[in-house]
This record gives sequence, structure tokens and C-alpha cells, in this order.
Amino acid sequence: MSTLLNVKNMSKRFGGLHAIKDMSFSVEEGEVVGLIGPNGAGKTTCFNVVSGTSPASGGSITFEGENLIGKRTCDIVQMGLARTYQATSVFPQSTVLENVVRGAFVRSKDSFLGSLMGTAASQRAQAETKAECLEILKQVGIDHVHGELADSLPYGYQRRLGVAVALASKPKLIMMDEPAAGLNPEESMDMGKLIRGIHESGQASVLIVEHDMRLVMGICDRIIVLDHGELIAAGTPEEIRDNPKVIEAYLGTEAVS
Amino acid sequence: MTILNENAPDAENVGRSVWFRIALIAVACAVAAFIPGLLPNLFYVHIVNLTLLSGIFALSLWVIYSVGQLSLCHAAFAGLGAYISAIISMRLNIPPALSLVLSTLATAALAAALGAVILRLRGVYFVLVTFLFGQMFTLLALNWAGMTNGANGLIGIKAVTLFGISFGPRPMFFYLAFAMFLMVLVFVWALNRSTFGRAFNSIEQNINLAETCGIDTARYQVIAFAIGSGIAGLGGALMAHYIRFISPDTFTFHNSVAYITMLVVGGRSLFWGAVLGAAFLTPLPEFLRDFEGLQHIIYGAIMIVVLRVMPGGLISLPRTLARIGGAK
Repeated sequence: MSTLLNVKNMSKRFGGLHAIKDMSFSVEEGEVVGLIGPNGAGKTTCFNVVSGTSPASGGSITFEGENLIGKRTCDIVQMGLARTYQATSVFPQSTVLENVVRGAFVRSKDSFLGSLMGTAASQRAQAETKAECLEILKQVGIDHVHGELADSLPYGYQRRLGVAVALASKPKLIMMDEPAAGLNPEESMDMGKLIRGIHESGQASVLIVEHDMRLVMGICDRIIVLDHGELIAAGTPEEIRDNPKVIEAYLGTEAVS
Repeated sequence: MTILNENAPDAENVGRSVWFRIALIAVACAVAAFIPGLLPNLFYVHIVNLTLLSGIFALSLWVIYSVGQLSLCHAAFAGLGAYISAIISMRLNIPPALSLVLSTLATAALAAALGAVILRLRGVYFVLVTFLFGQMFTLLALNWAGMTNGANGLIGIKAVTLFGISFGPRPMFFYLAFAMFLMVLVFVWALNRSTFGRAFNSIEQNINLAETCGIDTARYQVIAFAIGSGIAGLGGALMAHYIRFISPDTFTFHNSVAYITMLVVGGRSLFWGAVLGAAFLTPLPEFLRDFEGLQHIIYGAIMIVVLRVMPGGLISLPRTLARIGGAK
């Protein structure tokens, strides 16, 4: 197993507010890692900094040994590090299939001139990409609605579509920001199965932020806990569940099944 | 525009649709060949010529709009193309046919340089900055008298001549304008279904997600701005060699607003809307001239009615009619 993502002493300040302080963690190849913490702990900020949406104030971030600091989101995605958003994020006026095709944009063999002229090579490349994207839609279980506008999909399907779009770039590591937020228990379980499937099929490693404890405890190999911008614990789900610091900061007094 | 990207058709269908499109263009050319002869007098030819030029301006503005940005300095780029082409053809004695090409490229290059800086802004901030650049262009054209002849403008701009044929007279210019309009139309259509079109539309719909799809949103916005402004420069240069007189008043803020109006009234969702808007709004004031004193009021009223009944623009007319007819 080699290290995919390696974060060392990362910090992020917004003016006087220290949103993330000296955070260090890593994600190995083939792992599902959970990132948990109370609201406002800095989980989404952590994602934003790693994915290049907002610049780090200090520390180092590497992906497969390559530096990520100062790189733009689109370049980081091309290196194999994709993310999904906390809220649904799709191309609302495009069909479900077209959404996924856009996720595969950088991988497509289609060329600008070819597509401008509508050459046979371009048509073939597009057909190939579409076939691949339909497979991804099948994997997330919404291939039957591939022709509908993303806008018209029910919420649960839009969340899955978000995952499909991220998968389409063939990432080595996929960062998911609360994939189960707003889903009912059944949908949440399906989402867990989907994430587990991504992991087990060897497609990608997963770094997941989630509040649904049942989901996190169920699918993660390792969990790291963030509170007030500081890493307070890291370990297996069992260790985290019994860690008094975590219980104090986040889980309260009630045990989680 | 997303519809065009859908359903990779099988080989047979592709062949058929290509021939269908070529036939459509051929029919349009055949019809166009007779238009100058069929119009009652030169005034109408002039109106048609201006409409074709407006079509070029509106289409090029649509290219910029297709990344979700609204440029309020579109007329400035048209004016830039006009001045560059006029000045290099007069001073350096470059044939206008060549100066059209050079000014288009120069305008696109200047737009790319400007765009690289200002396209970091979005929404109203971008609109405001482009407004300021439009004003700066007008001031520059007024005050750089050594180059632009200031408020007096440039007179005696040469007409376009190709293969010994002069496209100066109105009926002759019609053919040039029509050819250029058709070229721009086909280019914008092809651009829209290319990989660039897919990137542009992704940026318009959801710029953050586009970036996470690995699309270099900064680069593609600059490309769209440069292409759109470059085509506007071509339209402006055509205008200069047609009217053969340009002044700082030829391309002002009001023209920029007029192009945006064409886009809104025609419909923004597809590039056809720009064509419809130009075809509807350019001749309209001329036909309202009989209602002296009332023409601006009627013009405004027509626009309000169109937008009230069809918020999607003229392009949504079939759907609106279907709805009125009771369809769901």
C-alpha cells in the first residue's frame, strides 16, 4: 500500500479565525477514511484546501508525492483527486448522461478540431465516452433515468449523480462531502453500499465527511476526528467509538451502535 | 444547446444530417442570391445589410454569454475592429479584405489580454468592469486624435474589394455581409457542439462543478471572450468598410445595450435566439418611423409585451403557442 494523500501541518486562517490548525493525516491506497467532527469543526474547509478551492495558509499537501499547494482545482482533478459537494451539485439543465460525460471531460479522446468539424473519429470518441459513462450510471444505480434533465431528478438520485460525475474522471482518491446528507435511512444505506462498492472494486480510495454515524462506522477502515480545527483522534471505528476525547467533543454521552 | 450534444447518432444518420445541413445552407444561399433584386429599393437593402451585421454582433455576444458572462463592452470591441481595420487599410494601404482578417485577430488578441485579467470577476462585477472598458474605448477614440481623428471620425474608408469585385454598393455588400453572417453562424453552431461548447456550457451552468470536472474554467472563459469579441471586431470592421465612415459615436454603450436586448428578446438559451433578436429588433425602428413622436414608445411597448408573453424570448414562440393552444 502506498500513500495517496499526505497532509502535513496544514493550517487555514480566515483573518483571525484559525479554521484549521496544524492538521496532519494521510490516506493510503485502497482505504476508506472517515473525517468526522461537530459542526464548524473545519471538515469542509479541509476539503476545500486539499482540493485547491481555497489556498492553504501553511503546511504541505502531497498527492502521490506531488505537491498540491498552489495548484488549481482543475489540475488537481487531473492528477486523480476528485471531490463531491455537500449540497447537490449537478449541471441542472443537462441530461443525466451529459452530466457524467462532462465529468469525464478531461479523459475524453475527443479533440476540439475533431468535434468542431464533426469528424468520424470525434463521433467514435464521444460514443466511447458515453458508453463508459452509462456503465458508471449503472454502478450508482440511476442508468434508467439517463435521458432526464438532472434538474428533474429526485434528491436522492441527484446525490448519486454527483458521485457518478466525480467517478467519471477516474480518480484514484475521491473525497465525498456528506454524501448521505438529507437522505432517508434506506437511501443512506444504499449510499453506504455504493461507497463500499467503489472501494471494493478497487476503483478508488475514499475520504468521506459524514454525520451519519451508522454509515461512517459501517464503511470506514479508519476515522479521523476534527474539533475546532484540530485533529483530536485517529484510529479504527472501534477505537474512535471508545475514545473519551471524541465522546466529549462530539458524540456526547450516548453510545453509538 | 445541451440537446445538440446528446445521442451520438449512428454513422448513417450522421451522413444524412450532414447532407441535410449542406442542403439547408445551399437553399439559404440560393434564396439570398435573389434578395437584393427583390427588394423595392436600396433603403431596404441597407436595412437588410444592417440586420446581417447586427446578427453577427448578437451571435458573437452569445458566445460570451454561453460561459455565463454578460459583456457591456461588446460595442467597444466592434469599434476596436472597425478602427483597426480602417486605420491599417488607410495608412498602411493594406487591402480591406486583408485588414478585415487582421483586425479580427488583433481584436481577439486584445480581448484575450483583457479577459485574462477581468474574467476573474463574475456577475455584476464583471458587467460593471466591462462597462468601464466600453467608456474608456469611447474616450480613447475621442482623444487620440492623431490616430482616430477624434470626434470628426475617419472618412473615406475604402470598400472591400475581392478579385476585382467591389463590395461597396449596397446590393453587392449584401452578398459579402450574407457570406460573413453565414460563416459566423456555422462557426458558432459548430463551436457550440464542440468540446469547447461543452466546457462553455458547463461553466455557465455550474462553474464550481465544472472546475471539479477538471475543466480549466479560467482558460475557457478567456477563450470564449476572445472568440466572441474577435467576431464582434470582424462585424465592426465590416461596418466600417460598408458605411465608410466611423466616429466614436458609431459604437457606444448604447450599441452594447442594443446587442444585449437582441439576445434577451430573441432568447438566450440557444444561439438562434441571437439571430431572431437581431432580425426582429434591427428593422423594427425603421418600420415605426411613420408613427413620428410615438416610435420610441411603441418600440418599448413591443419589447415589454414580447418579454411579458415570452420570458424565454422569441425563440420560445412555438412552445408559447402550444401552451396557449392548451398543450401541457
